[in-house]
Amino acid sequence: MGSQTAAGTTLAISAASPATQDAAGFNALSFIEIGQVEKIGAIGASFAKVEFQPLKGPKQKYKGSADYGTLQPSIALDSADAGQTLLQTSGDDESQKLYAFRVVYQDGAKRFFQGRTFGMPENGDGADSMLMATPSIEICTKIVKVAAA
Amino acid sequence: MSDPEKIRVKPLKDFTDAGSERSFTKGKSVSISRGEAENYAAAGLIPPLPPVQEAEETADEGDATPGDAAVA
Repeated sequence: MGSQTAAGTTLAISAASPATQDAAGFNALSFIEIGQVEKIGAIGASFAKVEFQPLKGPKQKYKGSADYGTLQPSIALDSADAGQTLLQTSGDDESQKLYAFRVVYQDGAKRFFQGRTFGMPENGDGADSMLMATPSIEICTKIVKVAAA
Repeated sequence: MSDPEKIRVKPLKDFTDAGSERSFTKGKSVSISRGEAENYAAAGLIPPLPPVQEAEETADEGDATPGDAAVA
């Protein structure tokens, strides 16, 4: 499939860890979908830029350390939603435990990774807006991409 | 005959699962997969589960449905 809209994309979480960091490992897990997601945000690694300016010649640029990124979804709070409850649990977790996450796009393509939720602040913005949560999920493993079947 | 992959649990509160679109009622016993149960237990929505081996031993002891020990 070529281009697609973001409509229908889902975000899910699992308290379990994959046996292997590949599609088979993540596909073996059971995930809970997180409800009421408005936006998922950007997913993807970036590299630190290492620069060197010699006295003679142009600036040289090198790829430094990889940062797998931060997922910052926007969610309408629902205290009865199981996925949100587990996400909140991951945010409250004071250990270094990794939680597994799965994003499924409209065409069925999947993105898997493990991460730690560094907080899930709630935001009451105004009378004519939903009570929202904006968690910060720090992605700690290489993102496993699975193409649509 | 019960599905050996399923276990019976009693939710500690009312909740819904956006993926399966199932609704769960506090105290009403339901049959779910162990994978689902592990996530619900981690979220505090159902009681903690016994280790897998312990659950299997419990099932061998009599006619109890696997997982019943978790909600007794």
